[in-house]
Amino acid sequence: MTQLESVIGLEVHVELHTKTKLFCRCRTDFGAEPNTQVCPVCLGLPGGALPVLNQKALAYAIKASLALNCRIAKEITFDRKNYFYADLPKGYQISQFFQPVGTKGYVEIEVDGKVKKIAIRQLHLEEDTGKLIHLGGILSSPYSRVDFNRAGVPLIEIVTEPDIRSAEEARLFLQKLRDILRYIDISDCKMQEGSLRCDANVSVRPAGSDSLGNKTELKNMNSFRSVYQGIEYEINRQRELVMRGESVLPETRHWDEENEVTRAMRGKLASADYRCFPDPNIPPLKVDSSWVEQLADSIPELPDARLKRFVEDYGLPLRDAQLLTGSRELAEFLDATLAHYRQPKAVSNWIQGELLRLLNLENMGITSCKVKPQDLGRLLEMVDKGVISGKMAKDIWEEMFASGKGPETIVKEKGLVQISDENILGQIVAEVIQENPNSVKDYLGGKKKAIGFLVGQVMKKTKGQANPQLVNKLLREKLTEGS
Amino acid sequence: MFLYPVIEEEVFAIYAHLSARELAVEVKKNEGFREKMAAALLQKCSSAQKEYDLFSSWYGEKIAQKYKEVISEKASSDKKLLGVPYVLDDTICSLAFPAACGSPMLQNYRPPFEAYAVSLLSRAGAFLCGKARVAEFGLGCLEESPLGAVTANPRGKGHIAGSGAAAAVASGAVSFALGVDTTGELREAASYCGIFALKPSYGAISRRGLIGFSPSLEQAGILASRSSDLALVFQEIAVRDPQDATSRETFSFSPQGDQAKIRKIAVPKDWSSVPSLHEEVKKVFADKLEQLTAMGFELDYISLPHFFYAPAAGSLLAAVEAFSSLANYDGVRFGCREEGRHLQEMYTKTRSRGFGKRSSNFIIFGALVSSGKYYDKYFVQAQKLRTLIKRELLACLLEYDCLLTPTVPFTAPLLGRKASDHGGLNFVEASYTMAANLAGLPALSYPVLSEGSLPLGLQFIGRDKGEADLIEIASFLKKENF
Ligand SMILES: [Zn+2]
Repeated sequence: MTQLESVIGLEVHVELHTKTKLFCRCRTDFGAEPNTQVCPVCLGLPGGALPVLNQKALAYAIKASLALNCRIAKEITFDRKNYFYADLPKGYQISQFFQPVGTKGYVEIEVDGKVKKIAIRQLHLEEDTGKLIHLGGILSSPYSRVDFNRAGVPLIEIVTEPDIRSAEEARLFLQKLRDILRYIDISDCKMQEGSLRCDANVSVRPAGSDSLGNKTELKNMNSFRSVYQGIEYEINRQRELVMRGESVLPETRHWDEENEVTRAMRGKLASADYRCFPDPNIPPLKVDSSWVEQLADSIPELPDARLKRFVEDYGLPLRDAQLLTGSRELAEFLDATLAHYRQPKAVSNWIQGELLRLLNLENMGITSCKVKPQDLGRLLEMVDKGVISGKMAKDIWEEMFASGKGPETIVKEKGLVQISDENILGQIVAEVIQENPNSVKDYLGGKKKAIGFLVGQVMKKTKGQANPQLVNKLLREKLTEGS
Repeated sequence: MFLYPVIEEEVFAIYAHLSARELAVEVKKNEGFREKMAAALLQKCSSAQKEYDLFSSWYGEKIAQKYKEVISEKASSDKKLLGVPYVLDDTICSLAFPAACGSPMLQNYRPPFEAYAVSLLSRAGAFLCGKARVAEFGLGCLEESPLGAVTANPRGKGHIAGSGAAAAVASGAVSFALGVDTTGELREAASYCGIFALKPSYGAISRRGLIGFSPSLEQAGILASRSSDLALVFQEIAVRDPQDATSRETFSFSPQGDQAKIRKIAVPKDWSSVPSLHEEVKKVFADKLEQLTAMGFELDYISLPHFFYAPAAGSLLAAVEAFSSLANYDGVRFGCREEGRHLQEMYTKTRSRGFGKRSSNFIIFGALVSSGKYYDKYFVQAQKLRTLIKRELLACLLEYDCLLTPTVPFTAPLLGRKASDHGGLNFVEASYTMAANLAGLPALSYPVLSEGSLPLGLQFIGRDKGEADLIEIASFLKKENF
């Protein structure tokens, strides 16, 4: 028996976070009362369904296409995909079939230390459907209710070539895709909330074969984990079928999260006749090349490029760089801090340690963090210059985090400046020596550790503001003088 | 109980002789005239409704009161169509009336918004009397709607009018009507009733608020008894609508009275080989061609090999668009709904009851020719044919100022005949009209009236944005008693 390899292609739907819908001016706010964000256009009322394209949504789709290395069409069309369902107001979905926004792109993922390109067949714009609601569950509810707030919300669909060979590759691809789309700020990409949805076409074939086996279309995977598990399960299921000499039925299957199996959806074959044709209500649209250039300029440095720069230019360890580039905002925070204070490792440590600790504690995102990057830079600088101690820096940091004030302001307000004056500290050191004859004796007797207690006493008297290095030095000098 | 006021013949005819422009002037300056006009409108609309059954919904006995109310609100400002009465095809949305569209599917349906063109007419001061009967969803003129009513022809006893709107204009009840022309319906009904029809260039008038079935073919157009009224109304409503992506920039339109710029006229050399062409139409058209030559027009008979494929290509494309565009009639959000044990059953029952037989057949035909097996063979083929027809017409109109044909191959059919008597879904009635819809070109139907016979129409197809040329030649010919 020859080895079987799995062949996987993904269809990813991403909800764009535009303020209004794709073809009408209804709002797209999440969680509004059912059927409050609707109009004759998105409800498909007779004589009312004249779509007018939301230019912002097109701009987002073009940005996504650019970020995924796609070719941008010079002219795009919108087409009708015809099918009946209660959540589809017009009886057709406006999508792009003949001339999509982007084609022939790719995303790079790292598999076993090697870079692998996953080709993108196309990226197109389309409208979302409404939502069916069943009181008390789909089986017990005697009827369905429909909420059309989501109907007409802009989506991009990203279709890969069948280049993916394992569930792990699928997960890596999806994570990379999410990172990129978040970087260009066109979507929240939250699988749990449905702003990123992934269907997978899965088949198996003898390794090295060019032909494709019967594929199943896998749906209902609502997290990165379930994408991995669902595909993994489906590959194994198909392998076993083929090993037994049975054939794989081309069908649509649901991932059953609870029981961790895939199940065939009743009567749903993978192929349907959508009779796609150009929507006569929307004339073909020329895409202005100078606009595309403008959009290209607005795309920030993407995760891969940034990772490379963090490692090569900043000399950060790969692990640090990966963690920091995982979020565009975190990476930008690092960049901005380094513009004022060029110690990459120190800043990286501080962000990963102190910043993330407080963000997690407060359950906050970096975007709502009050601290300005240049303030962090100055805080670290003050430690370097000995103005404050490391311990003081952490206290000041908490105050900065809570209030957004600059470190100097806090230092001034609380009188927190480190005492580095030898005369002042000399006197206090003398006092401490006088008051603690036993410890002095211990120290002189060879118990070098006793000096720690004496330092502590000085710190206590100065409320922690004494420069610890200087205290140490003065103590040693005074104690040796005396003997 | 309501009693019709007794109205002397003089009052009855108070506005019949006035053009829309003259009428608006009278209404504006003369309060006494308004009173008489309101009464005359009631009388005229009531009797027309009784005689021809043209309204699907209207103000009825309240129309006089309504007229006075609406006009007194608007009389202070300068409005070109102040107090000019008109009707709408039932397939155009207005807030004042339901839009049943001749279909059980939309019986009692009230649109929550109005068509852009209706807003513009209202802004211009025109008075909407009511909605006029159409075949189901305005598909053709020959079939009576499944709601059961069919409008009689004011100029041909015992014959159909083609549409309630055409009857309303021909009877003199209203000055003009706004209707939808998808395969030639407006021009066809105008031909049957002996009035003018203008189907403008595609995109000239917003399609927002048209309850249609074929977005790429349909266009709102105007019916009127006078060519100058076509011009006045067109000027008011041919305005770009940013909420209709197919609406085009407002273009300059200024017909210069009744001096025709058009000199060179093309006639398809095969015009007489249309199989359904009636002898009478053939004879009158041939006479008219001779007359035009005698008047000094330059007539050429040219070969248009694709022109007569227009009904076949157009009906196929319209059917595919109808299959998709009428898919929103699913019983979920509006209109007719039949209960079912599950969604599929609800759809089947709703659509079986809601659509009449002709619409059902048309939808099924559209679903068939766009299905995987036939998509390339029929649908794509028809699209290619459309391109060829368009190219052919554009080339012809580079050389000639317009193309002239009969409007319909026959005169108004007798009441009570079925569309199937005329070839069912073969659209023989659109033999000459469909090409202009496929090419998006403006076309005007010119009425030919003669004592003792049914009216018929001559169709002039003009250049893109050539509405002014068409209206000019119509005015010229009318002046010459053509
Ligand atoms: Zn809307």
